[in-house]
Amino acid sequence: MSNRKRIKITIDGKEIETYEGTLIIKAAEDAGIYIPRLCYHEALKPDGNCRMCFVEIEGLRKPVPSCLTPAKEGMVIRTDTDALKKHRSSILEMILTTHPMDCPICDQAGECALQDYYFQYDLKESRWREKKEKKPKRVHWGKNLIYDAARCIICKRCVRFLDEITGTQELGVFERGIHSYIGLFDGNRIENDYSGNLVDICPVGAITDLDFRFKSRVWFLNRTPSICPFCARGCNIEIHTNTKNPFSSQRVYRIKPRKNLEVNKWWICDEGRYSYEFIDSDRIEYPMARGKKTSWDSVRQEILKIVGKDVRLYVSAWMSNEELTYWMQIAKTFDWKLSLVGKPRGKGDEILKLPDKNPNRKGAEILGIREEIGHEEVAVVFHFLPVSLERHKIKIGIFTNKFEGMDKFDIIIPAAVFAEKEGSWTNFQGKVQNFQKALEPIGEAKSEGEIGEFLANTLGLDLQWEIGKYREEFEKELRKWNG
Amino acid sequence: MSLVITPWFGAVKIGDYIKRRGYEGAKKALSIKPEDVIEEVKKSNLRGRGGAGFPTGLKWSFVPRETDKPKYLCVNADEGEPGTFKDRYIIENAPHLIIEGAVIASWAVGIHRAYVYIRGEYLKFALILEKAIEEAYQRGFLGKNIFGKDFSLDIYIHRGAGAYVCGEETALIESLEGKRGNPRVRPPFPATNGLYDCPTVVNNVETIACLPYILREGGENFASLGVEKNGGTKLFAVSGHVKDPGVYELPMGSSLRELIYNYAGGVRGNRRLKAVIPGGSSSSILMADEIDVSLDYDSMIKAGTMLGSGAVIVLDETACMAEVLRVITRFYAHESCGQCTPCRQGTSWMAKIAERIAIGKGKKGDIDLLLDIAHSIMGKTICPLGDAAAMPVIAICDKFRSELEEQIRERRCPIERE
Repeated sequence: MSNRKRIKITIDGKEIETYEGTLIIKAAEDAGIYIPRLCYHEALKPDGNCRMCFVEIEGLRKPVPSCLTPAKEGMVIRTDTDALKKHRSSILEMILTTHPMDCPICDQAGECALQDYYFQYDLKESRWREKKEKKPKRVHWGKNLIYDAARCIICKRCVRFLDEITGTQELGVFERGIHSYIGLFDGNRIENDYSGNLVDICPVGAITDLDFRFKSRVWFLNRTPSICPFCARGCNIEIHTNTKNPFSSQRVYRIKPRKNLEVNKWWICDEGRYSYEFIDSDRIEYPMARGKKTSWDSVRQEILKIVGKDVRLYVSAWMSNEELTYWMQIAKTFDWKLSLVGKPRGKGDEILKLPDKNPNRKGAEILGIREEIGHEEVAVVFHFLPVSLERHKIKIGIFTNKFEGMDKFDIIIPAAVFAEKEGSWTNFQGKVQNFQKALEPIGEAKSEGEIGEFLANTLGLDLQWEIGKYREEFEKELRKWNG
Repeated sequence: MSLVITPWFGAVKIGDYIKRRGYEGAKKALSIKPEDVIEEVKKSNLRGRGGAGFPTGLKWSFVPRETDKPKYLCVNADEGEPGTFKDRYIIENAPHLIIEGAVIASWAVGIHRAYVYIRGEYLKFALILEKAIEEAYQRGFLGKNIFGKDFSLDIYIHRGAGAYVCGEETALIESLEGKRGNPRVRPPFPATNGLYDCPTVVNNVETIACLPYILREGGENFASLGVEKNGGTKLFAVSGHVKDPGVYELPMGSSLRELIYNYAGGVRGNRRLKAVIPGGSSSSILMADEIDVSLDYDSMIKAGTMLGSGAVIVLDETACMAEVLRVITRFYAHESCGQCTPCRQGTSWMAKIAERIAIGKGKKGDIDLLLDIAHSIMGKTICPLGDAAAMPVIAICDKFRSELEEQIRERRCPIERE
């Protein structure tokens, strides 16, 4: 769109530059002026139904919705006049007349547009003296979605999402006027791979997530920026955790997408959203020997047995760029062989999902690590079993979760999952993306970097795990690879 | 006095219609250039008879002449404004006026397919129109090579399913496309992006029915029937407490008093006139002393109301304004499509308050609340239905405030009836 004309407009006295034809609501947001909205979502075609985002434009008789009005050269726009504040207050009052006001039991409370705007623009007693409309509640839409028509404000974001993004069109508006509600077309259920996004884009508590329902108030959650590990796209996510809930040992409560226009836009797939269970359950919390709990001291003894032997490291496509670089360094020092393991290919789609189900195959590719089977005496296996381990006599595993055949390993060292450490992955586009530590490693688990240091020290090598240093070295390789 | 539409009433069969110089206007139109037809209509000062009063010739000229897309005509016969029954009379009594008008409009704009969107309840009239369309095809006035010219036009009837809002032109288009009849956001306007996203003209039945006269007698002749900027005559559907309710054709600029007393026979039972709703239920109510107003679009706006569809509802002294308010607010709440917040929430809220007042459960402050809600709706909705719901509430609450307050105070209707 570089051939579009740059223009100047004035919003609330601030002169800003934008492209001709940019919607005012967007131009304002880009300039740091937030115009309240309920139905507008930058990913979807504007619908203009909520009427919250009205602005005044000099020379126009009536206020106009800023989500439908393109910017033109020299426009003078006000977003904060008394008349507009009164208008927003009216819209909110009208919406709240039919709203059940059940914030105390609503999952959305704390991150609800209606709640926030009420405090910002309305904050007065309701003048509603009539009986509330009765509307369908607890409607199961399929998979993890529960719909409450009484809370719904008919902004149609959900309908438009299924129309414009997934193209699956399961939902429509039924009835009319005050009796309107969103419903499934006959014979439909929302079973598409992106259904969870409906919960995110619903500005109120009308669509809630069965997976999260009644589990935690949102203000108890810590939000940590991270990257989804489930395919090579590397969708930007936020991990929502709570380690202080006295009634539950659950640590991860939900995964939410983070906007990144170049990678995942505003969305994540349901696989990425709902597959966080592995972080908390079936974890290997202690070192294991032949399927039985053991001590770190015996791990050390076991490691010493490999001195002088041929070793092959099966590093995984789930390890970070830094860890891969570090382990390459270790392998080089001891003259060990190196190959790659990962999850098998799966299904991709046209929206986000890619067939490569590993977050960092690209990083390994950049470092020149290939998938191959070896026949050395010792195998050190990370995360995934290679096609065959038969030829290796000594098997050392570095795993996060319990699996079938654990007892065949001489030693298994408990590893931290991605949410328990920091690092970066290189996605299919070659973008290096950071994930941060959301949780402490479970039990005695350690990150692969720390495990590397432990192993190196045990073997008498003074090679410290310094994430910054190996990040730099990885970036050197990346620059070479990019030519 | 020349009349434009009613002289053809009774000419249902094509033979009778032709005997009364029917289809001469269409023949005339096809013998001149389309641009000249538009020019003639512009000269006539014909304004949209559906209620908005937008100049018809100007509306047509917004349609691009050269385009790769097909163009469409939609004849709006979804007559739904409470009190309005003029289009029904035209279809019932002179269906060929509509067909001839459609031929003229289509030739002028370059259209080869026209739809008549008729309200679902008008089954009888849809059948009459269908018969007339058949006759026109048989005579070669529709179909291919009309009047031997290289011009073809097909007309289809589409019956609505009972939604008032589908009379709004963009909702009509959505409905015609087979979708839910929700009004579209404008711009873009139908003239460029209408039916199937193609350039589309939407004209009311009465507007279309004026065209044969304009072409036959000339635009200036039509203009001279009315007053400045308001050409021709207008059909008025008079109902309510009058002796002779019915459809009357009067020149634009006649007085409302004249219509009520000289045509509709005055108030029934020699009672006193209380109020008049002059242009369909969405127009602002006029009090008895406000009826010396000229019936044309501009004068009515000056008088604080609107000519609308020309549906005049007369209320005598026995009318209970709380009841009027209840009926009107209930109608708009029922007919709101529900897509935009102020209309969906506001109309229903107003209806609930009005209902309470009418059954004697009004509360102090209700009138101010009604006014506040109505003002919050005005000008804030996607389509004019919001304004249509708010205007009568504002007018009734302002003009009959003391009566409504008495009703709230006394918990019963203050009107004495025998």
